[in-house]
Amino acid sequence: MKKTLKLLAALLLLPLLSIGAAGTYYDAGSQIFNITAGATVPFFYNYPDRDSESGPEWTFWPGNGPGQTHRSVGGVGAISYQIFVNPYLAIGGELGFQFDFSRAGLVETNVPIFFKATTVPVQGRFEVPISIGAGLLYASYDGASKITFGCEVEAGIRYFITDEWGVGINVGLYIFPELYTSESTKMSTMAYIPTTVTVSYRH
Amino acid sequence: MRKNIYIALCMLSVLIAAVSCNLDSGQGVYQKVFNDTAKNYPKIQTVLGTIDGRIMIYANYDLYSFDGGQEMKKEADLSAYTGQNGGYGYVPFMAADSRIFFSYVDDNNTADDKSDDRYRFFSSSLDEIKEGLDKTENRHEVDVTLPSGDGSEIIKFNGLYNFTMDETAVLYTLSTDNQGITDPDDKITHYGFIEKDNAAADRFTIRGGAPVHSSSTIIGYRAVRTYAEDSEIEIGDATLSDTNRLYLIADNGASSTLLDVGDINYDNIVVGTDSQFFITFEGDLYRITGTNFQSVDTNFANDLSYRNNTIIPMYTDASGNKIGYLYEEGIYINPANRASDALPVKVNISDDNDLVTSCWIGDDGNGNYLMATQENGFWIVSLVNDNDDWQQSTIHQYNSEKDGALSTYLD
Repeated sequence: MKKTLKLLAALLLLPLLSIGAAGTYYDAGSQIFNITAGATVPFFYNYPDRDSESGPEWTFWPGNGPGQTHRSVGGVGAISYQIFVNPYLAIGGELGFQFDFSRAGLVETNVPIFFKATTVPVQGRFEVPISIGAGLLYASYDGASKITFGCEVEAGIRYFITDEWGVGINVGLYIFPELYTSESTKMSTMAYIPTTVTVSYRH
Repeated sequence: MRKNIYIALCMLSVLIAAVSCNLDSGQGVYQKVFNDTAKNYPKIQTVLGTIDGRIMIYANYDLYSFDGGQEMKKEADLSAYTGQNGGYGYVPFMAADSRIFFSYVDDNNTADDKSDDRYRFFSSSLDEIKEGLDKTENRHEVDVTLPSGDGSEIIKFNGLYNFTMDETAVLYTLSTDNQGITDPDDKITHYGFIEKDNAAADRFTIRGGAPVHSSSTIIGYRAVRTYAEDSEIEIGDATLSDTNRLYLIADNGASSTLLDVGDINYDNIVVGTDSQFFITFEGDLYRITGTNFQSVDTNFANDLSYRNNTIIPMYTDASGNKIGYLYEEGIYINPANRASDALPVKVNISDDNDLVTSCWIGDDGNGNYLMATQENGFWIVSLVNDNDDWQQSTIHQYNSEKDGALSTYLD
């Protein structure tokens, strides 16, 4: 787990150090469209109301053991559209679809509909986008469903093969808390690490 | 465009506000995922045999077939007839001649008095099964009326063996006990033959049924298998008066004679062929032809570590040249006449052979072997080619644990 955190930190910090090192490509009003697909790894599951005899409140990684999340490695896909409000910051929205499998072999799905803000401190042909997103989340499993909130952070690198078209890879963190106001016993939080490939079109 | 995205973001904001006001709706999705346990996948209860090249499987109280390739198909809903709450108590036990054979206990007064219970059998085609077994015209009944005896109660139906629609001889045996419980004075008191009734197509009648060993004490009982040489039928492992003996029943169609093969403490019996059958004895494999009892060289004798373990023969091909058996929780195929320096070949049809606890083997006569193995309660069904490298010959496996419920394979 430490290695993963170090990798995330490195990906987040590296572009910050590079700010100003390259010229700007974008102007206010530039647009970028992304199609993303990849895999998600269950990172942790926090279940505050879990019976302590069954296992810990915090569980990690895919697997069916008492200390694991009872979920499998899954997949994710998303489309996003953003407009630059200044040369370094784009805002927009993202619609995603994430799935994995429970111990019962049934599919769990999460559909995030997020605001998404992306800063691109290194830009041009080679770019380092860093994003945060937050918004609505629709979770469903075996006839049960819930509309709640979620958030994400994501960092990546991308290379524009032509002036408009580029490909990139990203790693991030989804945090999906299933929130209730009075029925607190139903509350729990699921987190995933998505690793994705993106095709980008900018204009 | 810029205006549009701002409008979209505003709409999302409104949605978020709306959801915020109704956060208590929802069913605890993530907890449901976390707490869900592995489903009780339909487990294969019996591999019935083959019909038209498909393995017929009794699973989850229903009838499935597997083509050995990609398709697992639910053939018929049987649970209304076979389930514990089905009310009929039919148990499919064999597939042959495009028919499924069922057994059930017929109790004329539903009282717990086994002495007047009657075992009945019937066969039905797949089409008839689909129409419903509650219709008597869909069942071709075999009425098993036991010979009148000493009033002992039937405690176990030991099975029908070597049944085909074209052959007349089928062996069944019934164990009885004067107390209705399994104890050392159990007796195999009945055996008999089910014969095709030429006067009524597809109907069968009972013949024979002389008491066997009725005066001897049966301590243990294991397998019964047919042995077809000159219509002899072998009845196995009746342990009489502290002595393990093997008997053959020679039957000429009108009367039966009991042949005493001798004292052997064998473990199990392979289905025989026209001229021989196989048993295991002290961990080695033996062949019996007539009353001749001879060792089969499986090369185990060269390795003493094998001798203390039990080989469970499960299969022999029609020629008797290949033997399949379960050994140390793996499946082996061994040509019975292979060179003494050759080792039996382990058939690697499982990711974890150490967990194989039982198996079923059949063949289609064209060098393809259909195998079902049970591992940790789950079954794998495989089609395996007969070639020199069994470990790479698997065409397809259906694993009821890994592949999920059988229903995922339905058409």
